[in-house]
Amino acid sequence: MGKYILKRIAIACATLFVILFILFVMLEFMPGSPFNDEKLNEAQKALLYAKYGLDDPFFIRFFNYAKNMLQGDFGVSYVINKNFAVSTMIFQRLAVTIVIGIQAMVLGTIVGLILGILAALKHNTWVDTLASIISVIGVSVPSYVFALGLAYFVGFKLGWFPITYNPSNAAMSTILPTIALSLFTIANIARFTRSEMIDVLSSDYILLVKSKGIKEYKMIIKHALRNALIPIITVMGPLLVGLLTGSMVIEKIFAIPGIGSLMIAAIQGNDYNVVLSVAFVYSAMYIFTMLIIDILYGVIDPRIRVAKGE
Amino acid sequence: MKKLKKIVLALIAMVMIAGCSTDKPDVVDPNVDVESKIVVATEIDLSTMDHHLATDATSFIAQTMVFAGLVELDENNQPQKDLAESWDVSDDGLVYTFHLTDTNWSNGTPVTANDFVYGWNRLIAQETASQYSFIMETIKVKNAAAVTSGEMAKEELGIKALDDKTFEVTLDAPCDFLLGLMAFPSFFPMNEEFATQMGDQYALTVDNMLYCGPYVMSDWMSGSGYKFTKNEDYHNADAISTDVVEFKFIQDAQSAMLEYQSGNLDVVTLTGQMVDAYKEDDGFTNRLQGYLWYLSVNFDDPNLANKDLRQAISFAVDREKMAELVLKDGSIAAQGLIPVALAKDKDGVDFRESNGPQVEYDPAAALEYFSSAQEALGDEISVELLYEDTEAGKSVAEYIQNNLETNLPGMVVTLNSKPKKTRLDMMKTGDYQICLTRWGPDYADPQTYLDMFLSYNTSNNNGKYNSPAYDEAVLEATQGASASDSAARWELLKQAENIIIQQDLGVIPVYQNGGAMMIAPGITGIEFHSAGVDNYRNMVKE
Repeated sequence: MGKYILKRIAIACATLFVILFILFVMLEFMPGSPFNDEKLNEAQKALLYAKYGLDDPFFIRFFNYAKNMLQGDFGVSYVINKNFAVSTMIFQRLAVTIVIGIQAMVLGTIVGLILGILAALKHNTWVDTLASIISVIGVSVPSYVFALGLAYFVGFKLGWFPITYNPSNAAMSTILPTIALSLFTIANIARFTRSEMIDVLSSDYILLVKSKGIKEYKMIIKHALRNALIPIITVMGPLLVGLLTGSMVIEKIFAIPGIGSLMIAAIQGNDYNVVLSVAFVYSAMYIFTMLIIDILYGVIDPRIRVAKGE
Repeated sequence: MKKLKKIVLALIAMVMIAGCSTDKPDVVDPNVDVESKIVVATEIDLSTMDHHLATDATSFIAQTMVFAGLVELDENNQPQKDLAESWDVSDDGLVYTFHLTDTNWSNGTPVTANDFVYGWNRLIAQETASQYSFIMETIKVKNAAAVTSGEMAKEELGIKALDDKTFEVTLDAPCDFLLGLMAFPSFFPMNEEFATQMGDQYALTVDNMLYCGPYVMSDWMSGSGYKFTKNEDYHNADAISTDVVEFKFIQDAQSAMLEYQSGNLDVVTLTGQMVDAYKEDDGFTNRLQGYLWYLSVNFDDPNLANKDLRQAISFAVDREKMAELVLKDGSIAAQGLIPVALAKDKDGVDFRESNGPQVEYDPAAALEYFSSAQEALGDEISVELLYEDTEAGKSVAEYIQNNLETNLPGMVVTLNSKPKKTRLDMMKTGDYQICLTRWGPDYADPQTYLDMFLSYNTSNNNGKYNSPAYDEAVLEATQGASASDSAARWELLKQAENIIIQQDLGVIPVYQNGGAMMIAPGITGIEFHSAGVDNYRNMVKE
């Protein structure tokens, strides 16, 4: 297992390097420049390019950047927060995004599992129908619509939680965005759990378990859910990354100082180093999450562990 | 089962960790109830507190809160004393002598004339690479151009500290609007010892700045907001009645409005679409800005080089209706190149008023000119309209397209939407036909607009408008013998506007930006300036 993980980590690092290169090339082709303003003349532009080393040839800039990155230096912001270290900007904001993303994931998974299991157990009853309706709504209604609704009714009308992020009341501020973000996860997990559970519950070994007279909750948890979980974990990986990277609109609505809103601002402002670093961090998160999921498979299903050569 | 337990435990642990990390105790400032506090929403995050690097209104506003200049502008755009308690101007208008008031930086050292010398030198130093270095040349400080470009040593710049409290500025030519510009952050002082010691870390955190304005910055969280607390050491601290001013960064106008309605925000900017919903409410405020949006036409394009076509386009756009029905945010139809309420002559008459409307909506005349254009260019004339991908940009572009295609049968307008930075790039390389673009005034004088279209201004004259008569009028007004004669100068500026707008249609003015805001009833003292920085220093909450 250890060797397998090491190998996977090595591949992940190589992939990240390639991604960095591709990002660099893409930025090179992006029209516009961070220093572009009605008021700016050519001489000043040249001064700015020289100041930030943007007039060096492409490969020199790339290798300088990659070298600095290994030392934790992601360059400075040119537009959003002039001359701020990008690493500090990202670090501060990543924490907020991750907290909300994980909260949404946990909430979404728990509620989704419960809904899915209930729907499967009460197959073809009103419970099942209700769970399906919730799933369909969750998948088809964009999260920002839900977010606006929450902001208006729960935040404004009822006044239960802050509408926009308040650093002095951070925990409460994350509740509405967490709920808004979790809806999609709830819907997805519920759908998968339901169909997997129905599959498993109708299989022969469950019949055997039942005939042995094992208590129902034990049967569900130990025999049915465990087997139903594997495909669910497969979808959880992309869902989690989706939550971390796809929260841009939610962050905008709730004014959360997260990494998603930073990405939007950076792209609009051609803030090269910030775009590069955020995209890089997104890729790293994705690869890291997939790695964790792969390892989790092994824990849950011994067959996968064996097949992967432990 | 054991493993499942582990997973469940891990999940629970994750929930707890996630919970813990945000579970900070509420930080409640015990003084908040007794202090007066005003919370302002900003839809653009604070970019920089280094007043030599700032280029945007959000940063400039924040800087005027904590720093101060020789003067500040009052609500009528008139310079009033701030760090300078008095000043003398020589008879020929070439030498300004400022006498500084006794006041200290926030570390206790006095503000001296040398802080101005250092600050002004830093603004135009090559290492600073300030985008506003041009402004030194604008006020015609002696040798500014040569020092800025590095041809002369910085000691040659026409500024001098006569003693600790006397700062002298020498000009190449008289400058009517110099005093007003002394309220602009680019000309604020900077403490040399402190700035040198901070190096490239200067102004990156609240501790890396020295303050000399009405407030000190007490908190700054990138992406979230920033806070100002009253500076008791400010020389005019008695006049400041609000203890805490907080700016909260909220991009989404709708969410900001909900916070306003909940009573958590006092000042909010509205988008055009929100105006109808709130225009009857208490606190609704319409303000006029100095920004002028205009159509830049590319003279290298064979279609647009045709004057009849340009004339037809100008006549075919119903600017009044556009402002009223499309923009709705207090924007008004442009009457010329110089916006309303930008600059007044010696008798206090607005330039716009004295030079009269230069453009109008006249579909019949438009059609006539268009027929002449068709004779030269063929029956079907297509142009591409470049604009930036904002809400307002899109609706204005579509409105113009509709106007032109309806009023000028045979005209085909295609729309090309690009992000702002890309649009500017395309304009600079001449890769466009017509572009909807804007200019914000740097100072309260028509020159800030007229300078742009001099034939040799490669930075701003993207359409390559070239008129010797225009160049002559502008140059005579700014550098010639008339520069020091206010009345003659004003006549030349009016003449220049007539040439470029009415006579040549070198650019086609469209509208002057408005801004709709909600200001909570009971809050007064926000001063809006069509040129220069809006003033939030003197806000009062009842």
